[in-house]
Amino acid sequence: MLTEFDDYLCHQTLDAIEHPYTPDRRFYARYFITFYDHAGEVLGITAIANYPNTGVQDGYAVLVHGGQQRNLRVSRLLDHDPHVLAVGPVRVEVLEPLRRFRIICDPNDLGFSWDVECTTVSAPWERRRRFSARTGGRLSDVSLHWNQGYRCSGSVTIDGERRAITPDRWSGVRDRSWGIGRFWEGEHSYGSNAAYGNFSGLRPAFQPNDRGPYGLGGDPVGGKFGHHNSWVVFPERYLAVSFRPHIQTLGGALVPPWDSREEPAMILGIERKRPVFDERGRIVSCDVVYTDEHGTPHEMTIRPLTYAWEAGCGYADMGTGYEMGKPLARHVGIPHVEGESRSLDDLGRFARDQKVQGAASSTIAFHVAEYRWGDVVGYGSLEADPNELAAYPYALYTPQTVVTVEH
Amino acid sequence: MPVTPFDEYPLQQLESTFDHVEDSDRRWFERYWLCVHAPDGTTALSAGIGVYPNANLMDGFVAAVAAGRQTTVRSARTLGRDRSDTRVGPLKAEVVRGLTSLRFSCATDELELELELVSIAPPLDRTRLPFLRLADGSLHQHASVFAQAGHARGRLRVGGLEHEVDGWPFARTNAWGIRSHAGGLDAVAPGWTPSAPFLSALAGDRWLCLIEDGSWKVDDDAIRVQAGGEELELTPLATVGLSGGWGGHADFFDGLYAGDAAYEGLTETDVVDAPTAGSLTGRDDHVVRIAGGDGLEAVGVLELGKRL
Repeated sequence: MLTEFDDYLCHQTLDAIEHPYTPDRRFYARYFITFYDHAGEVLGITAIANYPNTGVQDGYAVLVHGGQQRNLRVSRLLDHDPHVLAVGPVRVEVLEPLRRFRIICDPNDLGFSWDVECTTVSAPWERRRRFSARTGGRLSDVSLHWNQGYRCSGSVTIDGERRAITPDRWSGVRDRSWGIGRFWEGEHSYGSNAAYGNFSGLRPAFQPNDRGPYGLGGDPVGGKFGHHNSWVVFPERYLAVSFRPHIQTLGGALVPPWDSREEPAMILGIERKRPVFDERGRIVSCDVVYTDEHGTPHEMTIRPLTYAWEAGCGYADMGTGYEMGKPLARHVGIPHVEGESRSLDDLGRFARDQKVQGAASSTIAFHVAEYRWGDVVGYGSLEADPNELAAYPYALYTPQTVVTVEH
Repeated sequence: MPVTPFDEYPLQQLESTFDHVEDSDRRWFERYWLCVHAPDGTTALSAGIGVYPNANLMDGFVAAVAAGRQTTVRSARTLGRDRSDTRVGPLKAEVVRGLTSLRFSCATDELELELELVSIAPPLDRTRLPFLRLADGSLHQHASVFAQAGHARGRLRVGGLEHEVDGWPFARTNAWGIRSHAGGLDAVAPGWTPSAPFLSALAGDRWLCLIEDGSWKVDDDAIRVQAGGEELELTPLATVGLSGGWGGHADFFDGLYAGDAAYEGLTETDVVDAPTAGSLTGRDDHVVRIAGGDGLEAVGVLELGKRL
C-alpha cells in the first residue's frame, strides 16, 4: 500500500516504501536513543523499531536512576503508517533529519516521563555492514548501522520530581540500524534461541561451551568475546568505535563537528589495557588506546558512571512473552504496554540466568562512561557484552591488542 | 557523507542507504511528471523532475503552451546522494504532504511557475507494472507507477503573459524502475503509436484514470476507448510537445548525461494548429476533450505509449 513517504523520490525497489526487498520476518529498522547526565545519576534509553514483515512497531523507554531500572516496553500493529514513530506513550519526532530530533515518553505507571530535544554534534558515522553471519547455512545477521552523538535539552520527571535537561550537562548517543536481525519469527525467538555474533539463528538453545570459530574458549572472562561500542561526545569531536573481537572487526572514527572541513580520522587500532576492578569485580576505570589512520595514538581513560541491562529492553523474555518484532497488540490502534521496575543487581542476576538458559544477548549492558582524553573530557557510551557466560559480577575488558581493519 | 537525510527514517527497503537502489541498471529512474491545463484546454503545461541513481544524474523540464507558442525549460545536474534535494537548476519539487499536496516551481526569465497541486483522491496504485519486453527482446518496462489528480493553484508567467492558475485540473504520476526510453541509451525507433496509454480527467467529483488499461482504437477524427464497460471518445485540443524536454532534444534526453554542472536550455516554438487524433504521437502530452455515456464531458490529459 502506498503511504505518505512514497511521494518522495527515494524508492529502492519497485515496491511501495512500506515493503522491504525481502519477506524475511526478521527485517527491521530501529532507533536506539539514549540520554544521560554527566554525573551518572540518570540514564534514559528509548527505541522504536519497524518490522514490516510481521506488521509490528515496537520499542521501549528505560530509565535508570537510584540503582533501579524501570523498563517500559511497548508494541503496536503497523497500520500502513511506518513513518509514524509512536507506540503508546513512546514517541520519536524527526525535527530536521540527522540534525535535530525529539524523544518523548508520556507519564506512565512506572512513574517517569521525559520530553527531550537532541541536537547532533556531527554527521553520523556509518558502521560498515555488520557481518553476514550464518548459522547452519542460514543468514542470521545482515544489518547496517549508523550512530551519532548529540546534546540534550528538555526535562525528565521521576516520581513527580522534574529535572531540567541542559546541553552543558546532558548528552546522548544513538544508533540507527536496519536489515535482517535476530528477532522473533514465529516459533523461533530472539530471546531464547539466538545468540550474539556467530551463534545467531535457529539453534534450540545456547551451547555453553560453544565459542564460535574465533572464540578461544576456556576462560569465561578472558576469551576474545565481548563486543565493544564506544560512542562519545567530546567538545570538538565525536568518537565512534565498534569493536567486535569475536569476529575480528574494528571500525570507527574520530568525527569532526558539523560543517567542519576536516575529514573523519578512521580508527584502525585498539589496545585495551588491564582495568582497575573494585571488590565486586566491577570496572572502576580502564585505559584504552585508539590509533587512528595517521598512526596517532589516542589514549583515553574510561570511567563507567552508570548502566542499564538491555535484557529489560526486550533482549530477553522478562516472563511476559514480549519479544522484539512479535505481534502482541490485538487490534490496530491499541498498543500493548508492559513493564516493571527492578534493581540493577537483581536485573543483572536475571540477565545472567537467562543467558545460561540460552538468551545469549541478555547480558549486554549499556554503560554511560566518562572518557578522559588528555585534558579533554567526553561523555558517551560503552556498550559491551561481558563475554559469553561471563561470571557475574562481570568484567568489561580483558587485556588484548587487536589491530584489524574492516574494509 | 554516506548516510543521507532520508536515512534518518526507519523506512529503508534494502540493507543500504537511500542513495542506492536494488538494480544496477543505468536506466533506473524515479520521477515526478505532471500536466496542468486550463479548464478549456487552451493553456497547458507539462513538467517533470527525475533522478537516475545509477547514472548519478538528475534532470527536469517545464513545457508550457500558451498564446500559440510553446516555451520549454530544461535542466540537469549531477545527482549526488541526497534524495531530499529536489532542486535541479531553476526547477524544484517539494512534498508538502505525501500523496496529498505537492509544490512545483520554475524560476527563469522566460518562464516562471509556482504551483501547489492538491490531490482530490488517494492515488491509483500500479506498483509493479507488468514486466514487458519489446519485440526485439530488449527490456521495455520493469517499473512501478502511481497517479493522482486534483486542482492546481498558483501562477504561470510565460511569453510575457501572466496566467492565474485557479483550480486548474492536473494529473501527475510518480514512476520508478526501468523503462526502455529512460536513460538515453535505447534506440528511438520510428513509429511510436498509441498503446499502453495514460488518461486522466476530472469530471465533477469523479476522477477518471486509466493506466495501461482499456481497449483503444485510433481514427483520424477521434480516439475511442472501451474500459470498465464504458466507451469514451477523445478529441485532441492541444499538444504539449516534449521534444524540448524529456521527449528528446539534440543535446538533452531524459537520463542522458548533460554535463557536470547544472545545465539549462530553452526552446521556444510556435504551436501547430489543433492536432488531429491520427497525428498524435507517444512522445508528447495531449489535452483532450472526453465524451462518454450518461452525458460525461470532461477535459483531461492523455499520454500515449509506445508500440510493443
